[in-house]
Amino acid sequence: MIRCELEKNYQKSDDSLFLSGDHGYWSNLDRVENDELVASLGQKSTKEAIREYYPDLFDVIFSSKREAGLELLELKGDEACVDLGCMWGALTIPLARRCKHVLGIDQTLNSLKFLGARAREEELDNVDLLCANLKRLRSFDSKFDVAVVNGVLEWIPEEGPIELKSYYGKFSEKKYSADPRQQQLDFLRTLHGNLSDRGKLYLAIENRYDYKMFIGFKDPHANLHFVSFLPRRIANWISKWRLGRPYVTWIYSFNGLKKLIKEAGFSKVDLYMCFPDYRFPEKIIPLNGSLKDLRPQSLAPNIVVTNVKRNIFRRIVGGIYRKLFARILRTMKSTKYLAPSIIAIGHK
Amino acid sequence: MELLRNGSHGSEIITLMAGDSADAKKIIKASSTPEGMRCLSAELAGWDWYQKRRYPKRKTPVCRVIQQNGRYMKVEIEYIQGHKGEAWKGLENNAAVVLSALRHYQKVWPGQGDEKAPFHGDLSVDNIITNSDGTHFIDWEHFRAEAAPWGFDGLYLIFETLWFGMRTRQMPAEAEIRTVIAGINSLNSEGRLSSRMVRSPLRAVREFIKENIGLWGGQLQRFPDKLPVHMFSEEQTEIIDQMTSRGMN
Repeated sequence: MIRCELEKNYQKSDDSLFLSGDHGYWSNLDRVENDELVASLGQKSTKEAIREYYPDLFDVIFSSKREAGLELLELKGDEACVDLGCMWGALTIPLARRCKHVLGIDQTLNSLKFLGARAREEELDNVDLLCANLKRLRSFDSKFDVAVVNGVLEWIPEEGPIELKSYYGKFSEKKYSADPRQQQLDFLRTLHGNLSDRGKLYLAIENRYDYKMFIGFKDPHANLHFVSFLPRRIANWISKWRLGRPYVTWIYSFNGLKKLIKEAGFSKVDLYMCFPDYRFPEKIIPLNGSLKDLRPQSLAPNIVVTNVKRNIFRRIVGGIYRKLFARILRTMKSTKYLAPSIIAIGHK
Repeated sequence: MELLRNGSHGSEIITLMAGDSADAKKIIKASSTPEGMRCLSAELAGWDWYQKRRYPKRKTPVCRVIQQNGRYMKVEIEYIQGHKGEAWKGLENNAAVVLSALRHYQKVWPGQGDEKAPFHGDLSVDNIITNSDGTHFIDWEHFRAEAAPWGFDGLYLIFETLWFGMRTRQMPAEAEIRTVIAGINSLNSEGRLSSRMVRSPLRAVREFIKENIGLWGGQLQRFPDKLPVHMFSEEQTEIIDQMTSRGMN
């Protein structure tokens, strides 16, 4: 059904890739790197290419740890899913193994070409891809049973092409046309309208009040201290001063996120705490659950640090703070609101 | 639904707890990788074998497949309520659990000597639950119906727990060796251990692992610390075996 609709409304680029004409760019790689990566896929498999050119990204793209959160959806196998902002398919491929059909949507054409190659290598014929801007997504006649928004909502207010390496924490003057929250809300409302009656939303995002932000860790999207939890107006001042642009990659508290999702039309929202983050979760616990079994190792971020001195520092200091914070999180009930990441399951 | 473990120790299995009340709790294990699905099939076979030996009157399966399509597999396992040991606390603090588990092993496991017996492959204190119904072994992801000499899993349990207590020491304490000896004597009370396993038990366990690394799939390559017994040095192995055999004589 969805494939027919794609064929009717969009230009077909290859068997499973459709183009809306409204493309953009958001990637960890710059355009030249991305072109070279995609060009290499004729001679190499996707895994070989990433292992050779970008080994630090291997787990980000292929690790089976990334798919654990999908289990919260309690999928039956007959669902039609949409993965919004799917990039290289870290969740699109695991979804395709679990469900009837998956549509991956992303604004970066090269990411979709890579993902298409990945799906072909795995002989997954239930994956379709659409290159489109998520902010201007049209509504679908065929409805989806599951919508995945994994690390994407915070980027919705951003505008223009983003090559992350030259943008993240770098000075780049910019003005924005609309209120970040309103844009995120509009996106979620469109998405809500594209879900079937039994539809579920899977939304993963960093917590605005992640305990690490209070002890000197930087905001994960702006690379600035304190901006995630400061009042938005002060965060804007800091961001304009340091980066030349306002702070728009808004993340939320548990309550703030629940309010936003409900406002978008979802009738019920289940919230989960995620440790050490939503990308490589070691523990996912319902917000009303207990933290008594939380271990320091569940707080260790899954980051590959190649610099030896930094690695030693990270192991020693990281070990101390993890022990301390695991104890604090275990013993104080209200500290659950300081969990690093949030997964929200919204029910239509 | 709560995520308990996510591919820990090099495994490719997602482990969750479902259900709110104690009676409704279930363990869910899922994987979408070939290696993970192979382990889930082993889990299923392991529970099937164990259920016949441990709960022969039970009609409904303890472990069952709830989704499987060739690319993804999900199984549901009954949640066993009880006390779960903590291997990292070492042999002295886990002596009672280890000794009762060895008695349970002897009762449940068929075979003797070098003939191939069923293989658990991860019989750790963390995978033992004790309650008013006795001892229960869980986590059968590495199960094989005929793979190891009789007593391998029991000896592995003793030496893994010993290793955790010795992490910061070169040599075991007298009390630990006494527990090792008590464990081996208990395991061998009917003379079912092979002479090699009685003579140099730690070496026998280590050599079996080394020669049969494929039994753990790719997990040991991805996470060499998965089997701590592997991490005893040659010198420690020699000394522990000597102390044990001296004590047994």
